[in-house]
Amino acid sequence: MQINIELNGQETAVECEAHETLLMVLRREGMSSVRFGSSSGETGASAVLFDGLLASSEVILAAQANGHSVVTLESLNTDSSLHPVQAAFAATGAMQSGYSVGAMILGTLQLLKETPDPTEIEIRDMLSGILDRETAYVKPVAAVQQAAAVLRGEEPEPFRPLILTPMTDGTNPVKVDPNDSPPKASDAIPRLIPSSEVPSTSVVGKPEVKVDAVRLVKGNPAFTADFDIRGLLHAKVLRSPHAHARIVSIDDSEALALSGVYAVIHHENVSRIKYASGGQSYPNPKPHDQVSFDNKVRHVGDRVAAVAAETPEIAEEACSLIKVEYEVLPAVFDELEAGKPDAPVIHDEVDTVDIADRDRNLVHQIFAERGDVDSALKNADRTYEQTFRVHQVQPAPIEPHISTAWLDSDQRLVVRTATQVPFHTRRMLAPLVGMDIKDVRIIKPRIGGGFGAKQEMLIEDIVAHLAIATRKPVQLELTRAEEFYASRTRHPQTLTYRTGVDSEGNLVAQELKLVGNTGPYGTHGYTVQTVAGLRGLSSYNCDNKRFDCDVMYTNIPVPGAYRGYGAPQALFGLEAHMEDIALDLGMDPIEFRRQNWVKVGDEMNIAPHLGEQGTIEEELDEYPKVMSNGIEECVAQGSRAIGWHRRHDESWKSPVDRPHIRRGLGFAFCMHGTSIPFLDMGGCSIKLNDDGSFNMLVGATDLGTGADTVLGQIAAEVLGVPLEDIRVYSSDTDVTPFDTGAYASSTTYISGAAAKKAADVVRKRLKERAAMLLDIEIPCSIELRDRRAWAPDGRSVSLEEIALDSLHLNEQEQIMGTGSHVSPDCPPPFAAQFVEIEIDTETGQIEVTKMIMAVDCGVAINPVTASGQVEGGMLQALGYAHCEEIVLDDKGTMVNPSFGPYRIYRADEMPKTEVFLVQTMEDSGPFGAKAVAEIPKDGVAPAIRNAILNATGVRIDELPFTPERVYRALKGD
Amino acid sequence: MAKIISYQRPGNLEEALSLISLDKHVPLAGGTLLNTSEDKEPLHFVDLQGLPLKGIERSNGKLTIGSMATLDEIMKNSGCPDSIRLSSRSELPSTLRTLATIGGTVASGDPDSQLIASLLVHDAEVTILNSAGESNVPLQEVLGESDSSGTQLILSINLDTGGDCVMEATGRTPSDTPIVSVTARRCSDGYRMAVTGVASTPVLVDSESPTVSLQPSSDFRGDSEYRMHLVKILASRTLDLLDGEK
Repeated sequence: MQINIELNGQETAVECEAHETLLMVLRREGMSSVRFGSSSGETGASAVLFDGLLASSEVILAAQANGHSVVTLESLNTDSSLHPVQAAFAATGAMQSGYSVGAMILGTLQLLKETPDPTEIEIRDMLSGILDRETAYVKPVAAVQQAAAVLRGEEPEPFRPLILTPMTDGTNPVKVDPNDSPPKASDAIPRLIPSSEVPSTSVVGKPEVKVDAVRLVKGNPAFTADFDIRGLLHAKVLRSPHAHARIVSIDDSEALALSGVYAVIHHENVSRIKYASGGQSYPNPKPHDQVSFDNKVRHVGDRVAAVAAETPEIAEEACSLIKVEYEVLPAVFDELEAGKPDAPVIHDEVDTVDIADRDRNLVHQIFAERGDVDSALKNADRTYEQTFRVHQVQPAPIEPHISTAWLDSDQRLVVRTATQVPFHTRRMLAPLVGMDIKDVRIIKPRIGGGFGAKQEMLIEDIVAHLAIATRKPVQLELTRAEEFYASRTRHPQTLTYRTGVDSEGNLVAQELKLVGNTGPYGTHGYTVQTVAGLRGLSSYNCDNKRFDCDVMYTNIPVPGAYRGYGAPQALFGLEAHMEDIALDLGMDPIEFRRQNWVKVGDEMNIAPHLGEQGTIEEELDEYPKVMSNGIEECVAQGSRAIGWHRRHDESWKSPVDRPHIRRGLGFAFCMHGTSIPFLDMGGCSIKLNDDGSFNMLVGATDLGTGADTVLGQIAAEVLGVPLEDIRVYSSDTDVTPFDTGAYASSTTYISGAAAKKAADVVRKRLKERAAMLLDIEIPCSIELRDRRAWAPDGRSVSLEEIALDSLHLNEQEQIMGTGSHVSPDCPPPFAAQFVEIEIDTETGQIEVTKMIMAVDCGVAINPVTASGQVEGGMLQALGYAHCEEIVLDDKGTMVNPSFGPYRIYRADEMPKTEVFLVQTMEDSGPFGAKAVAEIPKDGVAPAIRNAILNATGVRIDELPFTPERVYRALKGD
Repeated sequence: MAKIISYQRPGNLEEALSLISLDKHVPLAGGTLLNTSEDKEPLHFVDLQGLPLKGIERSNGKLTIGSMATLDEIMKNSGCPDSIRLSSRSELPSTLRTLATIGGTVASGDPDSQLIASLLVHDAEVTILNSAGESNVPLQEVLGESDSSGTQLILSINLDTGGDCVMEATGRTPSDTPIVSVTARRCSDGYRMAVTGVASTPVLVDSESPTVSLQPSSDFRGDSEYRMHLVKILASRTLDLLDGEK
C-alpha cells in the first residue's frame, strides 16, 4: 500500500506492507537516527515526534502513520552546525554510545516547546520512555537543562568539573565534621579532588567533548544497522525449546522450498569445528565445547538452525517450517545440583576435551593458596563463615547484537559487527568458516553498548556461514528476547567466605570457596571465576589466603562476560562479610576495613597466582605492590557527601510521620584491577597530515565509553595540539593496529599507553624536522605546544609548515609513528561506595534514595567521560542489586525476556547520584591514569545490603533485594 | 510482532462495527499492545483512529473520555481527576503513553493496570456499541467478559469525578508496574476500593475486608501469600490516608 506522511516537513509518499512498522519505513527512507531497541517499543531508541509527540516508532504501524506528521532527528541537520539541543547533549557528555540520543533530543525539543523552563521531574518524565544503560540519565538531564537555558536566551555555565579541596593528606584518615557539607552543584558535574603530584597538562584531564559527538548528536550513520548494502539477506535463528535435548532428526525441505529463502544451515550441513566463543586472547581458555551447530541443544534458546532469506519475516517463517525431532533429556539449572550423581551429563560428546570431570559437569577446578589457611584459621581468635548466592542478569545493551557479513570483490569475508573484540573475532572466526585469518576482515563501527555481552563471538559465525553459502550479504540482528536468553549473562555463583581474625581485629586467614555456574558452555567460565577469586581476596592484607573453586555446567542461558567480570559477585560477598565481622567485633565497619585494606606499598599477594592463563602454585620472588591509593580521600569525600554520621541517628532512621519506614546507610570498599598484566595489548599508529593535523588509528574498541576521545586526548597532549586536530579511527582489522579489545578495564591504561608511545615517536620526528627548519642543533630542546614547535629562543614553526615541508619540499617523508603496549602491572583503582535507602518494613519494598561513589582512578584523562562511566556503572549495579533478574521456569524457559518484567531503571525513578574523582598519580599509567570502567559495578550491592542491615538489623545474603525477599527476611522466614 | 494480513481505517462507526464483526478482524487502538503481540495468528487490523472517539468532556460531576483518547492526553487534561491523570502517567512511559488509548487499556483488562483500578473506583461505565446499539455497562462487567473484541466497540468511558482518591502500591522500583496496588476513593455513600495484581483483571473489593474472595496467582515477583499480605497492608494505608484527609 502507499502511505503519505509529512516527514520532517516534506510530504512523502512511501510504499509499505500492512505488517511494516513506522520504524522500518523510516529506516528505509534513510532516517538512521531512528534505531531499533525492542519490538515492544520499551527502549524508546526508535522514538520520533509523531504529530509533535514523542512516540516509539517500532510500535506504530506504517499504515497508522498515513496522514500524520513525523519528525526525526534528521530534521535538525540542515547544515553542519548543531541545534542548541544537540550542542547541549554534546557539551555535557550526555551520550556515551549515543544509540538513543536521537530520541532524547527529540523529546527535549517537544518538552521545551511546551515548557521552556521544565522541572527536573518533568525532564525525567520525558526521558522515562528512553532506556539508557550508559549514563544513568544524570548527564542527559543536565543536557536538557542546559538546552532550556540556551533557548531561553541565557548563557549557561561551561560544563566542567567542580574542583574540591582535599580533605585528607592522601594517606591518613580524617574525622568528618557532621556539620560540614560539600559545595552544591548539579549531580551531573563531576567533583574533582586534585592531587599536587599530578603535573599540569593542556588537553589531558580536561572535559573535552567526545570526538564522535557530532556524528552521534546528528544521528548520522554510525552503527552496524545504519549501513545499507545492496542485495542484503536477513537471517533468523531457530532456537531450542528444550533446556537439554538431542536432535534426532532435522528436515529443512519445507523451509528451503519457501519462496525468498536462500539457505538453511544446521548441524548436518555445517562443519563440526570446536571452539570457545569467549572473546579472549590466544589461546582461548579450554574447553572448546561449542560448534556452530550441534546435534545436541543445552539450553532453551540454543542454536538449532539458521535461515537466510529476503526479509526477516520470510526467514522467521522458514524457521517455523524446519521440522526437528528432539529426544528430550533431563536438565539441571543449579550449580550445586549439577555435580550430584543423578544430574544429567551436559557434555557427553567425545570431541570436547579438557573438561575437568565431565561426568560431574565439572568444567574447571581452580585452586590457589598463599600461606597456610587451615592452620591460620585454627589459630585465629575468631573465625567466621558466611555463604552468599548471586543470580543471573543480562547486560542489556540497547543495541542488540547485530552483524552483517559479505564476500568482497576479492572473495574475502568481511563482517561489520557490533563487537568489543574485533581482532579476537577475526582469529576465532577464520577456522570456523575454513578461511585463513588474512582472508577475514572485521569492521567495528560505533557500538550501542556492550558491557561484556559483546566480548564474544556470538553471531558472527552464523552470518559468515550464511554469506558463504548464499554468496550474498547477510545480516542478523537479535530480537530483545534473544538478547536475554541467547546472548550472554552474568554468572550465578554460590560463594562461601571463611575468615580468621586475631584479637586486634587483623585478618589472619581468608578463604573463598566458590561454585560458579557457567551454563552449558565454558566461554568465560574459567576467567570470570578466576577474577572473582582474585578480586574477592585482594582487597585486604592477610598472609593466608585460599581460593577454591568449582565451575559447573548447567542448562541455564549462557553466562559470559559482563562488566565487572566476577568482581561484583565476589565483592558482594566480601563486603557483606567484612561488615558483619566488624559488627561482631564491635568495631566501626569502616575502621575495621581500614585496618586491613591494602595500602601503598602493600603486596597484592594472591594476584599473580590467579592468572587468565592458569594458576601458579609456586611462590614467586616478587609480588606486585600497590603504588597509588586514594581510598582515604575517597572515604572522606563520600562520608561527607552522604552524611555518614546519620547511620546511628535514630530520629533520622525512623521518620515519625512514616512509621513503617526505616532508613539506613551502607558502605562498601571497592578495589578493582586495571587490565590483565602481561596479556592485554594495544596498538596505535599516528600520521601527520598536510595541515598539521593527525590521523590516529587504534585497534581499541570504543563502546561508547569515550575511549576514542581519551586516546585522542593523550596523543594531543603529547603532540601539542588541540583534540580537534586528532582524527581517531577505530577499528578495522585490515587497517588499524591490533588491540585485544575493550574489556578488563584496560583501554585507557593499555591502549592509552600505546597511543602515548606512538605520539612520542611522532613528536620526536616533529622536533627533528622543526630543528631543521629552525636551524637548531639540539632537537630535544624544542617544545610542541599550540600547534607549533618552539625553540628555546622563542622562534617557532607551525606543525602545518613542518608537514608541508616534510611531505612536499625537502627530504620528503611521511612523519608517522606506531606504538604498542603491554604492561606487567595491574594498578588497582579504589573507591568508596555509599548508599542511602528507605525500607518499607511492612512490604519489604526498598527505595534507594542516594548513591555516592568516590573513585581513585588515578588521573581521569577526561573527567566528564570518566564520571559518566561511574554513573552508568552504578545504574547497572543498582539494577543487579535491586531488581534485575533472569527468571527461569522449571523447564529452563526464561519467563521475563522483556524490559518490563526484567526491569531496568528508568530516568524517573533513579536515586540522586554523585561522583567524586579523587586524583592520584599512577606512574605506570599514561599521564597517571588507572581504570574507571568497571569499579562502579562492585560496591552498590554490598552497600545496599549493609544499609538494610543498618536500617533493620537484618542480613540478606542473596540477590536481588526484591520486595518479597526483603519482606520475608524481615519476618525471619 | 503481530501477523497482519491487512490494515483498514474505517471512517465511521457503522463501517468499523461491520469490519470488526468479520472473522479474524480486530480493532486497533493505539497499537502498543496489538502491534507488539507475539500471537502468530494472522489477523486483519481495523484501525479506529478515524472515528470521532477522542474527546474528553466534563459535565455535572461526570467525565466522559472518548475511547481513543491517549493516556498522554488524559494525563495533561486538567478536567480529569488527579487519580486518573496520575494513573495514566504511571501506566506507561513517555514514548508509549502518547500512543496507548484508554479504550485499548480497558479492552486489555491488564491485571496490573492502575488506570483500570482508578476507573473502577470512579464507578466507571463503558459505553459500548454493538449490533444491538449503544449501551452503558459497568466497567467491572466489561472486564469480566472473556472476549468481546470482535463484536463490539468501546466508544467512551464515563466516570464519577467526585470524592477523594488515593493509591498505594508496592513494586520492585518506584516506577515499576506494581506487584500489588490498591486504589481507594471515598465518596458520599462510602468507599470504593480496587486492587491490581491479584486476579485476571483489576478488581473491586470490599474496603472492610479487601482480601475476601481473592485468590491471587504466584509469580516471580510475589507469591500468592505475599500478594494477599500486600493487599491487607496497602488497603489499610489507603483508608488511613483517606480518613486523614477527612
